[in-house]
Amino acid sequence: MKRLAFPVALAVCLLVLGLVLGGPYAVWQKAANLCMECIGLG
Amino acid sequence: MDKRRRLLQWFFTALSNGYLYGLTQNRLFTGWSKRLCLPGLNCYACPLATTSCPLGSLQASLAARDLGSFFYVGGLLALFGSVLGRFVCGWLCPFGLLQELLHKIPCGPKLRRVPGERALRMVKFLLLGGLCVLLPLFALDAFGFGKDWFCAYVCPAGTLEGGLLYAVWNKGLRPMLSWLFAWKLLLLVVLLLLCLVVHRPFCRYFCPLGALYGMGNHLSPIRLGWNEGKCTHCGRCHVACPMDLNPARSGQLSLCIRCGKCAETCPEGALCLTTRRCSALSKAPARGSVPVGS
Repeated sequence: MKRLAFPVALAVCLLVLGLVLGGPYAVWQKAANLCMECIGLG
Repeated sequence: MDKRRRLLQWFFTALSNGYLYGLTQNRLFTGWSKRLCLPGLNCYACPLATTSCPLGSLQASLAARDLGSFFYVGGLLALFGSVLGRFVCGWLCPFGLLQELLHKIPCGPKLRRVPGERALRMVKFLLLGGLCVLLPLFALDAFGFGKDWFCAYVCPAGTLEGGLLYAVWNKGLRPMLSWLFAWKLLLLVVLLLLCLVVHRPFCRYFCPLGALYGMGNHLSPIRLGWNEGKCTHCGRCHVACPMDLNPARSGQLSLCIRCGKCAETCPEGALCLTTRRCSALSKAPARGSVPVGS
């Protein structure tokens, strides 16, 4: 478990930083709009 | 254990693709849950999708050079990978479920390995590094924007869940079908046919998400416990393993999807999927090591 502590701590720090910088909204913006290339219609 | 695993797979599939209303409306779900990335491979362009794909979101964040989404998605991937490892692949991923169901169809001989198996298993790392990270970051268009290369040119989940559904349901989009759709459809068909003879070929050879999570297998508390005292090296675990691994020799490899079939098959109860440190169990040995007493 000790060796898991550092990666989890790093992941949580990244997550919090991403939340503060508006990451979820940016993810939503991409996911809420149809990506024509992604579905092969382009 | 297999029934519980199947139940959880169906649950996560329904959770990530639960917007049935989207089929009747032929439009994307735009609710708040699309801010979340569930750990499995699931295209967010699917009209049923209620959450985002972590791989697609990662590529989009690199292509847009958006630090916020990069840290957010990167943090989620690091968390899923380090805590769950490839448990995600074996128990949660909708695309993994599809491959397993296809493999159950009785259709000729089932292959445990294909020619070039070792080389093929490295392809997913190349796809991860090349198409998912480097190209979105550095291959820019005239306006200075990157794109999600894996989603655009390879991802079969996108073709199946997004492209095909839209092509069938939306007549207005059909004139836009181009060489890209044909190419991705070809990849999808080849993969689905391969699923009939090989167990989880996409997970084994091509999934960048699996490559990423596999790096966390050594860290994850979800481990394969191996009791070397009970093990008789009968080899049944190797036969049962859908990824063609030998759990009694190397249980923590990045390829292991923690499905638990080896543990279910072991007649001596020498293997188990565990999160606990059990005094009666030792960790399955590292690759190449020889168990004591063999």
